[in-house]
Amino acid sequence: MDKYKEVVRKRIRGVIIATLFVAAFVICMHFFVAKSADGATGDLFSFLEGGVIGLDFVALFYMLQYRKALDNDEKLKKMYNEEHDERTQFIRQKSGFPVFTAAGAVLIVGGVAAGYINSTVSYTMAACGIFILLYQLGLKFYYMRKY
Amino acid sequence: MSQEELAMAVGTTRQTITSIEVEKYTASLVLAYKLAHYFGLAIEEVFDFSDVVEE
Repeated sequence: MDKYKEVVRKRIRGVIIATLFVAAFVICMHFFVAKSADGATGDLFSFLEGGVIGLDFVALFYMLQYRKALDNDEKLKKMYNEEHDERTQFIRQKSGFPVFTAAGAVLIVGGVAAGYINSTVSYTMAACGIFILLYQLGLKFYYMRKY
Repeated sequence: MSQEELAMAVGTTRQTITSIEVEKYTASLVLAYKLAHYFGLAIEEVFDFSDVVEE
């Protein structure tokens, strides 16, 4: 369990670094890029910034969960069991993890980045990414009921 | 003993124990061994894999 504690500590550090990096990126874009090259309105930027801030809150939630688990051995063991549970891994595999997750994430992040260049490309990429993630979620629920 | 306690003892989740109990999910050899070992029995005394169809 000590090894897993170290893994969780590394994850917390990773989440902090990623959150700070993303926050810095959004702040820079907010102040230095007024609007995209094709003249997208401020609505698009508000949408993108809202999405990124939302992701930051999700990251914060996980960070707090990890912090709590580090202070409580029973919670840590439960978290370890959930992560290494063979049925969970089987369902993940059946629902296209990690390929769908990675593809969805890349499309959404790419969509956010593309938002600063072309709004149509941004919306298309974000929509594709969200569709892939929702499709994966649907598969996951299906297999969770099946197995 | 609760499913939660058994799950914690063999390193799995309560949902997996439930799925095995209702025969929705077939335990791997390792998990089957752990469960049988926990009850101090042989695998074939705890599980009957004769009707299981491999996917």
